[in-house]
Amino acid sequence: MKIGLVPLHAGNLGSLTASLKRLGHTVVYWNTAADIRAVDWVVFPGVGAMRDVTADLERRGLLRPLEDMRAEGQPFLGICLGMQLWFETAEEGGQGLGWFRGSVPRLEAPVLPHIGWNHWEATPATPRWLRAYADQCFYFVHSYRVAPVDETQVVGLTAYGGVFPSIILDRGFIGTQFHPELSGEVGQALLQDIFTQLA
Amino acid sequence: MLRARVIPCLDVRHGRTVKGVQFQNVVDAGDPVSLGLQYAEDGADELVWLDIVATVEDTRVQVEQIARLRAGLKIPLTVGGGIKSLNDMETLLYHGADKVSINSAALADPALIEEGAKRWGSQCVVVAIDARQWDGQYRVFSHGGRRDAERELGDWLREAESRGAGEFLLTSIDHDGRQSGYDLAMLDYARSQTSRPIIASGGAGTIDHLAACFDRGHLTVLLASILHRQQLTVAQIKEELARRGYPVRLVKPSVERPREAGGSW
Repeated sequence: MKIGLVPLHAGNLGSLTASLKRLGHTVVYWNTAADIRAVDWVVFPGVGAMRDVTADLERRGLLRPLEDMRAEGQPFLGICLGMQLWFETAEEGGQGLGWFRGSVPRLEAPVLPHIGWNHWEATPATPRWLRAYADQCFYFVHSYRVAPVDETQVVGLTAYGGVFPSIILDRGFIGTQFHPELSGEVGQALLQDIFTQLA
Repeated sequence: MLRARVIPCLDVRHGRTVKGVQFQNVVDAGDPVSLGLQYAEDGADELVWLDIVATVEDTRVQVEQIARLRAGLKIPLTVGGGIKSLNDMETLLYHGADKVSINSAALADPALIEEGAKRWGSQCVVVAIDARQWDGQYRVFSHGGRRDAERELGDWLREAESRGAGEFLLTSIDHDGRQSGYDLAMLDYARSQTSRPIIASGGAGTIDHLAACFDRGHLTVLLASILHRQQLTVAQIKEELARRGYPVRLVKPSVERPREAGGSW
């Protein structure tokens, strides 16, 4: 498949790019509007701070085209920050894209960030293909979580401090709070399944 | 439930994995790329790659090797050694590191922590600290444990955290390479000084040492000699930890023990 990767701030696309290439996909970086072309999936990678990200996308001429694609039903995958960005406001400051209703509050736990391997549990909204991955360990690294207004968008839950949404799904959008590209064989398998099941 | 993390450390010198005793007398332990991939296949939860001579001899880590490792590696990779600038960090992240570990440079210029965290997020910045008991306190040393950094451990942990360190890699110079157990007293003290995750390093020789660490609530351990000398594999270690009831991630999900099985650990 062809995948458009939207870099948020500089750097650190190495693991995700390597992972997508191992799966046989073609990866195109969308740094500016000129890089945009028809792709099967648009991926928002997940590292960095939410602050300024929306303004940065606008400055690079990406915001409007992305909005248009969203309206046209383009599938999007968001990972960690890449998913958080779709919500309205972040507790750390900064405006999200507002594509999903809800906020991005800080996790509450004695030790932060939440770093390491944790499992997720299915919700009533979890589709059957995704349930195959429930209760398996994935790699997390984050201090913030999403808090969607619409609970039917939550298809995976994880506990650290409190319980938070670790997978959200709504039509062409799927977001994971964990990093499938860093989650070993099971992460690779999930990535591939996302691309094929939701295309 | 967050699993305990078992992290093999690749101590790299001139492109080869080595292991010393108390930072001295290094011996060759193989090609770090193939060794790293083997550890990952065996169930390592992350890898740490430390170029142990980069600071001292002022060389840069082997970025081509990092890129080669990343091409095949499906778990997180932290790279450290000789990092002096944002530029160095960017180079390593670009070549496939997920986090960078800074030690001497952070002590010399603590603003580097802030700049890295601001640019890539705190979770990208691991502050490595080598410390030992000295003059009735835990004292920080730089340059591979050779130079007194004239800082007390708690002071440095708190400052580094406030500047944006996302995680600490705390090595006990007294325990390193001796395989006599982690420095639990120092880890307890460090835990009381920061709310960031701490990777315990230095001293692992047996599975009991790991268990002792987890029992005290220190859930992340770095392993080197115990693996390099091929006393135990990562898989053997994690299977035994699981058998004893510690929550570890096993690479074959079918053999993972039931979650939340209680227990007092």
